[in-house]
Amino acid sequence: MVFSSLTFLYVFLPVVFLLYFILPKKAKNIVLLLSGLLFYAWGEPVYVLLLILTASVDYTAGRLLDKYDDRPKLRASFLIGALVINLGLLAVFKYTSFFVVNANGLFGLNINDPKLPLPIGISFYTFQSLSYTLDMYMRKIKVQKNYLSYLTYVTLFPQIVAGPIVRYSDVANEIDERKTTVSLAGEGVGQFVRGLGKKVLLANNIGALWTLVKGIPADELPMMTAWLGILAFTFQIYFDFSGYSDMACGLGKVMGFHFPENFNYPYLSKSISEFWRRWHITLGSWFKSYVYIPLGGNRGGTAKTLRNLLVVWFLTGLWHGASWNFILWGVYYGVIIICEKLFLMKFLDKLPSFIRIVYSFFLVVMGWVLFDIDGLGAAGNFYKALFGFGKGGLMDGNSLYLLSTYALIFVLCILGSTDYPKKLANKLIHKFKYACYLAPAYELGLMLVCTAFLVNATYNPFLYFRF
Amino acid sequence: MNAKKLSVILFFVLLFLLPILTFVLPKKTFSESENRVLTTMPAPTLDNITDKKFMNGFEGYFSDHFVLRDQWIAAKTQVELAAGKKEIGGVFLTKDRMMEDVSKPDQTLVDKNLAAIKTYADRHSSVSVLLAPTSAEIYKDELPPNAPVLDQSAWIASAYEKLGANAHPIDAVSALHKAKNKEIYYRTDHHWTSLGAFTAYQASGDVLGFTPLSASAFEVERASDQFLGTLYSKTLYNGIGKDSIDLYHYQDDNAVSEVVVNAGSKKSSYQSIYFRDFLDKKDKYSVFLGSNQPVVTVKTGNKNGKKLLIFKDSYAHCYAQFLIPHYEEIALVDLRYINGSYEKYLESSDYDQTLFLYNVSTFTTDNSIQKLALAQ
Repeated sequence: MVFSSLTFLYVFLPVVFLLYFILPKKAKNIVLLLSGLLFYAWGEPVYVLLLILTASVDYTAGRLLDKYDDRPKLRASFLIGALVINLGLLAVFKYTSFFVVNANGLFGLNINDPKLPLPIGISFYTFQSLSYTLDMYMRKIKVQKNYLSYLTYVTLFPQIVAGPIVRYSDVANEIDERKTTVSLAGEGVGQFVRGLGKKVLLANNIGALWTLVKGIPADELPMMTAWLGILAFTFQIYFDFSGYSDMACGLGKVMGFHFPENFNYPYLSKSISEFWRRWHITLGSWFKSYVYIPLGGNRGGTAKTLRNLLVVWFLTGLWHGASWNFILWGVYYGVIIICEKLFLMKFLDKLPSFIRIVYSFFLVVMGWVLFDIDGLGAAGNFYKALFGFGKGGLMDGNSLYLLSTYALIFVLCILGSTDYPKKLANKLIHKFKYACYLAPAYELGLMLVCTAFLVNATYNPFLYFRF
Repeated sequence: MNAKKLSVILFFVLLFLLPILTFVLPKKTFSESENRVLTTMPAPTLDNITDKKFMNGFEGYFSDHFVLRDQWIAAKTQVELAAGKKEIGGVFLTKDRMMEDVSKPDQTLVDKNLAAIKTYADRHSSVSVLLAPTSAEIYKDELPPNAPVLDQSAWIASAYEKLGANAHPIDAVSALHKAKNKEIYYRTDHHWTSLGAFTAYQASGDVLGFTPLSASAFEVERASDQFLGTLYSKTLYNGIGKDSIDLYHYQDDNAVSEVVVNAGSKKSSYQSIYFRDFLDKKDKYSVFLGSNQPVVTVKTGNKNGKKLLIFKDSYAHCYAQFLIPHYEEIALVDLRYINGSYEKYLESSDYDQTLFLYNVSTFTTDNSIQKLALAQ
């Protein structure tokens, strides 16, 4: 199921909340577990078994790691076993086709591509569940002995299919002991509704423009249309993804959870290194904790640091999808971040903030070309169009039409990418006594408009099906 | 009450109120305003669940029957207009009318369609083609600036050149352009009006081989002034007002002797080309020869022996009323509704003339014309 659907909003959510809040404390986790399984099975009625398998493997690994705490070799073998199964399942279901196609191409083989459908959210939940085994191995957390509690954690419906990547350690206490307060729930409702608005009103609308532009062959694109298109995608992916994360965190708060925040105005970053501390934060910190630091981080001299960075960014790219364009996109960031670390940062530090924001934003936009255009040839043609070397010229009537149609939505997207609306709201609340009531009114209005857009949804994609 | 509490209360009221109303209120099976059958609740069988038919069906059902559905859709249109959108769901909304967006066609599809007609024309005598522009061509100056629409006039001219010597093109575009100040297209529907079809009819005489009658030969009856058409259904936009439907009666009492609708599974016979039952429904344009059917045959009181076969889309339904004075029999064949060859319904050799009548939108998106090749 996806959040941005009438069925989730007005059937699933009220039923789950009703049961969750009227049943006694003991039954709450059962409600959560069953609702998580239903939520996942709604989109993956068969692969839900795979999800349970993954969770069971890590639960068992945790118990064994705890039981044989004084047997280092045994512990290592449990860890390896869990890693092999977790990553093996991920490899089989997500990367088989990629391996087969490349092996066939590279070695002239003729292996049959089984074309397994990719289970929704497999990259998210595998990383979530794996964090538990890894932390258990590193003795950072206490064991979870209750299987149902563990399964509840893995299947928490707010975050299962599109993040944030909630580590077990983030919710270790709250999974068994948490409290909903009116103030936290109010905050959660606000965050959820704003997230819904980001997805349904901003991402879907500006995304329709990208779909239009993508429909034009890249070698015929006028420069202006290409820019409108890639900027549209830049905003679409941000509002879609951060909207999902906001909805997840908001729903968590309503039920007393504190999930880690996933985005922090990334398009205001002043360097690419900073961008990745503000974009999909939970993924970056996952790789940092479980790959970069175990590899030695930056403690082994420059050469080793560079190697570790490249490994992390290769994997970050690969995590986003089984395709060369994602790998290239990851390595692209790896190279930029290495440059920043080696020399660029010293130079950037001297520049005014505004120029640094433009620098970062520009590189991020260039990255989205690699990310969302399949095939190097097509991406190359798109870059040509962006820089005025395409056959489509500077602009045509269509460019002007698209600009006039989407101008207002662009303005809203630009404003929404900054923290100005938030600052303005805070200012009002401090200045006027009753301004705090603008929030519930705004949320109600937003919810009504989102409902209208969902009733007649013409374009409502789920962008993470390849993750 | 503090603001956070109010947020929670409002959110939960909405969250419970809308689904309760949706499930409690009586359900419709057909949406008059959207002019379509609504989704029914799927059965939760194991097969339906494993292949997700149940889930998709449920979501469709819930959305189709959502409380105040029409009002939500209308509200969405208003918000989109306010946000600067000029086109909603493939419909341009301008001050005075809604127009279907006919965009640049897939030229391979079109070339195949044209080749199918050419092949047919090479094997039959007296074949004519009328490609009708849609309102977005005639009223293109009312479209938003730079709207990326097809230049239908130039496109029709280039299509006509590919037809070969045996298919005779009818130029309706220039006549329609000249008549643009009259109500020749509906403002809420994608069809032309009777007056639009009459304009095209007047331009058809030379090619089809008859002398068109003047307007005075027909008695005009305003059958409805409450028509909200297909473009309205897509947007539920109320800013345009309603259309009127005029019927042009040929002033000869015995003009039509019988109308036979062959729906494939059954044949029904009627006395008039006007199916007045539809005037009380949403789909009022179907007053002209009913909804699209595989074959509709109109027999007239004429005894001139002239028989016309029309391969068509629904633009022909309203055009057909003007042909009654000139033919003894007119057969309208809709290849979109025929599986396989049309020959299981009729023989083209029984007709001494053939007309292809399509609007540009259908002709550039539909490939059913290629079924002509299935005939012997």
